[in-house]
Amino acid sequence: MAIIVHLDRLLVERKMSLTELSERVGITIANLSVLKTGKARAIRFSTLEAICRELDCQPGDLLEYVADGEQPS
Amino acid sequence: MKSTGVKALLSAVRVLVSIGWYLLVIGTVFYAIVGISVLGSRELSISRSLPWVVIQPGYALVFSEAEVSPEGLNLAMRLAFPIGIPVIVIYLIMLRNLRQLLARGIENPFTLENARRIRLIGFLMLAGVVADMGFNLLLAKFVINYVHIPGATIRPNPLPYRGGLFSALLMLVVSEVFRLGVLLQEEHDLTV
Repeated sequence: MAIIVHLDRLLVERKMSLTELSERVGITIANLSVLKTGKARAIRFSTLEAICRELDCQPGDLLEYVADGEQPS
Repeated sequence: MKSTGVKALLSAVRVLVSIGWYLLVIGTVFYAIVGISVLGSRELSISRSLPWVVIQPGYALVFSEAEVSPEGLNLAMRLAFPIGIPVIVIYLIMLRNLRQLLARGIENPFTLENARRIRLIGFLMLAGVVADMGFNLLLAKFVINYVHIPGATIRPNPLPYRGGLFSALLMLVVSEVFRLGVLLQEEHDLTV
């Protein structure tokens, strides 16, 4: 079981760089990279809110639960 | 200002531990040379009775009328070396870990390696307390058999060294706190 983060896909769709998102949400690139590469253990509601606001998306667009053996969408 | 004071204190502790380490290493070599030569000799030079001295922190009790039999002294000298080896090994490992902890661990203390080191020091202290108990029981047996003090009755005391026991348990608790601290830090570092 895993939580997949679709930050890279959303960034491509919004034609936005990680640096630009970092400046807009006020989170370091290093922390956003941790989130993007799926290494994060937890995400704050404030971070989720800021990312959703800047990328104009819902939490469900950013995060996806994938059960064992299943492929992410 | 406060941080500078703590750093100065840590440096002083680091120097003291290093001095202790080198003294122990030199002492170990000396102890090994003397111990091996004593074990190797067939006849020991002690052949007369000597007074009994009990050294306590702060004072020493000298029983000038007491007698330690030459047989007992010879036995004590032969047993001192093999009994002392595990104690020295415990102290060597303990000081080595303490030096590593102070040398590398202070800049970033919350690591699993440091938690492991503190736990090891705690277990070694515990082993030291157990070894001390065993040594004291042997000493009691020796004193009862070979030391004669007129008018005195000598009884064994099986109680462990409580200060050492408390310190060892405290170190084990601190190591667990460190381990939890490391886990919390990891959680914090990977929370975005």
